[in-house]
Amino acid sequence: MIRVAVVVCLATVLSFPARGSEAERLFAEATRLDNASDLAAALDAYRLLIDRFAATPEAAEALARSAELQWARDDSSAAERLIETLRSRHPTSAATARGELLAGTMAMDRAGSLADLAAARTILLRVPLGWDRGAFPDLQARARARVAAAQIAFLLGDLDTAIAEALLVAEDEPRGDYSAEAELLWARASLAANAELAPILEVLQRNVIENEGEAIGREAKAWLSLLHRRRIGPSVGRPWIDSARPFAATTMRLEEATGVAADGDSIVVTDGSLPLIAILGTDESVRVRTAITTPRRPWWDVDRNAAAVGDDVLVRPFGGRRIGLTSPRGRDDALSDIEAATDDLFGGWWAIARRYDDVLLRYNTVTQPPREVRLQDTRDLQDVARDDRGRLYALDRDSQSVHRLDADGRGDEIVARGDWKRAAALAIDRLGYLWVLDSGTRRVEMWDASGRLLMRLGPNLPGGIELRDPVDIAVDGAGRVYLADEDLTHLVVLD
Amino acid sequence: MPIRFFHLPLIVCLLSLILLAPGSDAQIEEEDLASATPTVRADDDALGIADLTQRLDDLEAALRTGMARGEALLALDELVAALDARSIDPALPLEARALLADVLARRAVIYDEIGDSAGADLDLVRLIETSPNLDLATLAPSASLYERFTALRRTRVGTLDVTRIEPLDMEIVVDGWPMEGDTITVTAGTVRLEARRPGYAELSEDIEVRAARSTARDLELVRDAPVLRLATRPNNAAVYVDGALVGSTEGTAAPADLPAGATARFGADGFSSQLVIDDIALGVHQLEIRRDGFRPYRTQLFIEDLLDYELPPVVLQPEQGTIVLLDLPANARVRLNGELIEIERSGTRGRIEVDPGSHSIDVRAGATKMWGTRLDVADRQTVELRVEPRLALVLLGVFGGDANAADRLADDLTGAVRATDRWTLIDRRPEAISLLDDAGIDVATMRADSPQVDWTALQRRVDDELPGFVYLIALFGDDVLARDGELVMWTTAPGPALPDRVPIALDSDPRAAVTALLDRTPELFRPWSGVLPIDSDAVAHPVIGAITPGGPGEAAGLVAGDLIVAVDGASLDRAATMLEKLTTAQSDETVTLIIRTPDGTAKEVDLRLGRGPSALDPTAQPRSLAWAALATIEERRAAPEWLIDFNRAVLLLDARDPIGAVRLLREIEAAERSHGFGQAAVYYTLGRALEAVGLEYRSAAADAYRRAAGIAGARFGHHDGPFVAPRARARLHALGESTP
Repeated sequence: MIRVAVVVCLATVLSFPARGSEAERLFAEATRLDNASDLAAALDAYRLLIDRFAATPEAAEALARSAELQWARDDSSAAERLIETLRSRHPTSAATARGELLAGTMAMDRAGSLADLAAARTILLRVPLGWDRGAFPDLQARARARVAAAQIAFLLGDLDTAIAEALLVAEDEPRGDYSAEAELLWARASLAANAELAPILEVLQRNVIENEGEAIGREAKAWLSLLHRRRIGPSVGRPWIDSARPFAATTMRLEEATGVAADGDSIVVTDGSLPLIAILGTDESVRVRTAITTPRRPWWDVDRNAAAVGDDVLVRPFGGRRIGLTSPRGRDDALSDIEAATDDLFGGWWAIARRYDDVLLRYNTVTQPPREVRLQDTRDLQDVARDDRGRLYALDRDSQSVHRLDADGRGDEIVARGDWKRAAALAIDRLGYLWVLDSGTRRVEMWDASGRLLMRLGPNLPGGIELRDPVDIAVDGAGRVYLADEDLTHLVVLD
Repeated sequence: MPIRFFHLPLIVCLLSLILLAPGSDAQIEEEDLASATPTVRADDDALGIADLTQRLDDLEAALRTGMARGEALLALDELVAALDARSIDPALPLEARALLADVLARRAVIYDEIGDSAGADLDLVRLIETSPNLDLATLAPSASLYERFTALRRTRVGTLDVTRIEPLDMEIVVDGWPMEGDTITVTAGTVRLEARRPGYAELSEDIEVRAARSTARDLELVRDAPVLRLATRPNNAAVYVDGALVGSTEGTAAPADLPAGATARFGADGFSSQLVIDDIALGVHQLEIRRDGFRPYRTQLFIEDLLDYELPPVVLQPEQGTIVLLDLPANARVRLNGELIEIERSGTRGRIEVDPGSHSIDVRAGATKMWGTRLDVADRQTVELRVEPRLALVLLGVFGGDANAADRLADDLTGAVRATDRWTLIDRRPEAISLLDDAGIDVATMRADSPQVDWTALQRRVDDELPGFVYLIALFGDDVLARDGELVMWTTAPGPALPDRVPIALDSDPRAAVTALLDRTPELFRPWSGVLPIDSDAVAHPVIGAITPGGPGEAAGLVAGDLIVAVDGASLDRAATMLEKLTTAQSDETVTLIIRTPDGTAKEVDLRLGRGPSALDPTAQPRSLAWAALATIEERRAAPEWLIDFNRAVLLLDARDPIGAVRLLREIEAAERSHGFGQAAVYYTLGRALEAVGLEYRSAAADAYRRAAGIAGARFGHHDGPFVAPRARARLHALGESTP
């Protein structure tokens, strides 16, 4: 399930002046109920308005708002019917642009493949095509639809289009909360396209300043930090890794670390002995922790929820549900010995299980048996990871290679081939650098996207830390590398 | 009081006149005295003479084209009947008598032509009695008729010879006929001789004249009074002597009737005919000439002898005051009471003569600045005003429920304007009422989120009728005691007719808020560092992300990757602090940086900032004020023309006037900078404007983007601003064009 940042005005406080007509008064009442979160009553009032005053502008607004509410209630069929009514009754209304945006968003939400995403993009592009700036200069739905369309272009690998559309939002649309989002996307896509660095730095730094204290500002700063670590510093002789130090040694004493994952500014760690899963901040504070049975490798899913692998389940320990996976043999055969897993862009899962360690298991839904995706010459898959664009990376110990697939699980290509004794874990940072942990040599390796080994480090790290039994590796949004070692009582962060 | 118009040469009397009235031009000079043309007026319409004359002319024309004689006689009979009773009355106007003579002459000729000699002879007799001087030969009579006419004349007329005429310009009338020369033919018998001339005792006597004889008579009038003659410009002026009305100047003098010296001095137009005052007594008199709207003309007359006195033509001076404008700009256009006027200038002084009363003066200097005031001016008063043109803020209206708030706002605006010393407030509320009404502007429309107002049309009207630079409408809340409101502001053409709505709180310190709003003085230059500091959590200080080739940072030896530990002794932990420091520094200022290089070496670096052009951020301030700032900058010549035009274009584009933006951008030739803000930004903005105009300009827009993309390293907004080329390439891609 893609949760790109398409916000469909659910929280918008609508306010229309009470101008006196019956339709206006009815709309004002429906809006009042809506703002008071009495959604059922609001929907009734909107429906009454739609039925009684079908041709009025208020009815168009009511249709759009009703569709948004229905989608929020997971009734996408009702939402689609309302959107269709909008299209037929009010083809040129600004409210219909909101309907089209919602239709595109729902299509993104339902997408099960890159082709579905491309189709959703087509729907979204109806908004800028049908409601141009000349006639609708302040239409927020157009800006939001463009951002979503640009994000899809980014996921589809059409970077030039993503860059262009993000720019059009940032420069041509009235300033809004989507403006910074568009600029950040512009920067990400430009980086993915290997564009000149200075313009990207300028955009990111401007967003750090303009959005200080906000998530988007922190995100921009993380990107700048990443670029400093990976591009600017090394270009003037700064080592890829300058230091190694214990991470959260005083706040989170580990007994048998089994895995680590990192997001933009959060780290999740699992411990099989305690047993627990915990989320730490980059400031080494423990934000939350909970007990979990036989936890193994964690990851951050696309919705930015921490998730982890247990022996036979996928767990979202902080507000999610335990998911039991079936084996390829059928529903009655639960999958056990899950080694690693990650979610994909489409609400599905990719897993590696000990019993099926020569294939990747793709679950479109967890209740159905998975599809087996066989990679070239893989016999002992150890880890799977996903990058920003939804591409899958799989580490095979036997062939000592890293494979990359597109978000649909196609296009198997080897992006790194090492000389590893016992390759254990894989991480991808946001610039596409591969990090491979070889527990046999207790080393960490860094590879670029073209398969060139850039750095090897371990077992003795700068700062006097020695890796003993490293089991997992992660990279946060700012480029810091985290190592989980079963024999160390703390995580190690490489910087 | 007799008032007459002389038709004979005047006797020249040169006597001194002491002229007491200030500014009087009255002097008596010999060459100023001139002859007058005799004029006899008749009430033609009352007598029908003109109609009768026309009828005779028509009859003559008909006779030439073959009119039957009988028919002609009937018509002539009617004419004679109409004139008959009056023709023998000597008091009748001469025209009537002359016309009767003409009619009788024609009828006599026709009688003769049809053989009615008796009828002809009767008319000849009457003809001679009516007009003894008439000569029948002009009607081409038959020889016999003419012979009879001559014979009759010999027996019925004589001549009167006048000798020793004193004064020469007296008027002589014999039996009502004016005498021209010294001989006149009259009907034999007793004739009435009359002689008159102002200042003289009138003579009237009967004289016997015998047929075919000449009778001589001496004519010498006795002087009994002085005479004063005068003419005025303009006419219809009342003339008072010693406070008593003695007449008014009438008519229009022919140029030839005016003294040559006077016409040379004053021109010949517009003078009245001469007014003759002949019952003035000897002695000293006060003369006053008055006419509404003109200053009274006063002088003292010394009438010491029985002579003719003539004032030189009196030119009445209109009542007026004088407004002197000081420090008047060379390009100033001045409106007096709303009307554009040509002004008499001497350097930076401008002089306006005005009628006494209340006047408004507006001075517009260039396209942007105005100065205006309202003042009262009395006759002969000179008011000096120092012109201090400022950007004109024209208050058109105040809407809302709080009447007091309107007055307070006007006060606040006045105070704020005074505090800024950059604006002048022109309160046009009364004049704008109907204009705003016509535009559909009222409380309700202004409170709507998107008021349905044709701002362009409104702007056109206010530009024309109530010109200013920035127009302002204030809108308060509904409350009786308004606590907040909005200022709706837009700028004069060619600026965008799209108003900004600036919120204003009335319960805090609105004057300070308005002052702050109006006092913004954006610059079109800013310091240039050529350094892009960024934040990184990998280090404790900002790190240099990029260095502009050829920029100040590079010149100082800075390189990407250097940490900026401190600026001017202050430790740095955020790039924003560094950028703020660079933004607020003076151009050409040197800032001292503590740097840590990637190898860990700390060093002190002097970074001498450069100075580069910059663009305004149209979203950072009301557009109208940005336009005002540009106008000020342009006037001070504080920025190159391309930069001002570029900013204007950006404002136009922001205000959804892409065509206006394209017009400006097409003409801009900025520096073709490979690193910094210059022509690439112009191309890029041109591309955006062309796209905004319409799909048909996509190709032209692509061409502009291609040019922009071709200038690597070029920046937008300022030398340290966003990069142009990546944006231009993105735009090209969006247009489906290949990128360079």
